[in-house]
Amino acid sequence: MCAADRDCVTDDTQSQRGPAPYIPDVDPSDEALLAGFATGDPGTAAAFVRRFQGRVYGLALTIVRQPAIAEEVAQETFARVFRHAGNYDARKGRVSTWLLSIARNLSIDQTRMRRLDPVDPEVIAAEVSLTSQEPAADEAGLQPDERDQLRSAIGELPDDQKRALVLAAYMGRTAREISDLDDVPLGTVKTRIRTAMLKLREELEVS
Amino acid sequence: MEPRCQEIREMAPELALGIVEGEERGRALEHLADCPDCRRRIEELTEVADALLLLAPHREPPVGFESEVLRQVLPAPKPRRRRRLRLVLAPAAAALASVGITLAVVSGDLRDASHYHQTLKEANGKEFEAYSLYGGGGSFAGTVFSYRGAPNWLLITVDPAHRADLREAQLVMDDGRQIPLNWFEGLDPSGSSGGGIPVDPQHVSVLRLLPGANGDPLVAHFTS
Repeated sequence: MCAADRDCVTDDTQSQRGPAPYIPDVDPSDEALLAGFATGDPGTAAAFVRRFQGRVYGLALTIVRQPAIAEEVAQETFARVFRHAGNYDARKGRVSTWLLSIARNLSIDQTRMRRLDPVDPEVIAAEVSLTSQEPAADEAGLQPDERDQLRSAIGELPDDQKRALVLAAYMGRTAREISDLDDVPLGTVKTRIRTAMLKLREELEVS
Repeated sequence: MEPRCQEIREMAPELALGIVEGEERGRALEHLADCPDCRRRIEELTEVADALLLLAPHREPPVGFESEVLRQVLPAPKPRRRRRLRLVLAPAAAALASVGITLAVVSGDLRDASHYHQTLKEANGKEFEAYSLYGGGGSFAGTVFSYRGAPNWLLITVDPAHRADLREAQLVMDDGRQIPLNWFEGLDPSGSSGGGIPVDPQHVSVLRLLPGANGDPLVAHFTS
């Protein structure tokens, strides 16, 4: 369960050796920070928010396009993580992807509730294909070469597949909604999404 | 390949992207619960969906964001107190308020406190605590008893409704370290498990019991 050896102390010797020595942890794992955040420790909570705020706010802004709403979404994301941290299961995914899934869903809810102007999927595709101010690899959850491969693979997708993928992945549109929006048969939309996802999976496997 | 598997695999990218809804999603999840091959396929594609979210540009939020989040989620600062203090101080407080309290109640509290100290003294212990375990949605799931002495130990008892498929136990310390409890290999038939711990319970922040593929983790916060 421990994300890195430095976070783990085994209990093989139990109490014979007395309390485990305290090892200063200058760069705690995402899981350790999440656990500290959940306990309400102010120092750890601040470190947790600082580590992820750029990613969470960045994703929310990508989807909702309005800074004030993106800020609200990002704040609510951290509030939900705090409330549900006990339910986080490291075996089901990284902390960063769990956090971003929550941010994505809240962003999509906001675009629907507030009837925000639809964003051109081409704009989002261009943004995610560009290199931005990147956090360290272990914080991003993707190695730099994986990021580059994926970005380049998205850039090489045919426009219709790219559009369907962005509408589904970032804007939460169902295949039926995309079909209605673009006036394209449902089966065609499903094929576009499937083909795009399988290509990206191949790229991640290769890298 | 089973026809149902074929159907699910065609739907797999949409399931991974979280855009399948309602009944269709419910039927797919039912199938996935019993089909490891299809589940693996979805997991592979979910990694792609997750990776797509990680590609969104990194943008710093406005100044003050961090403090606003902390203001919203953290309780107003107050001194952390452990139950031991309440237990020890309760008789003293009762004695101070003895004008309105019967002698019988006060002497009962004092007798309890005296027994507590005597029990600890017997084995040179320093503290005995009990904390509630909670499951998903904050439902009560059991109790964790902790003993601070030589050795330090825990006893975990879980209510019948929450016993299924618990596989691992883990302590999270105040400094964020995670400590797996290797003696925990599920619960015995009475729903209990216990053993020594290599750390002072006073510095434990959280105990987590983690399930297998299905089910919610159980959590006990070691604070009053």
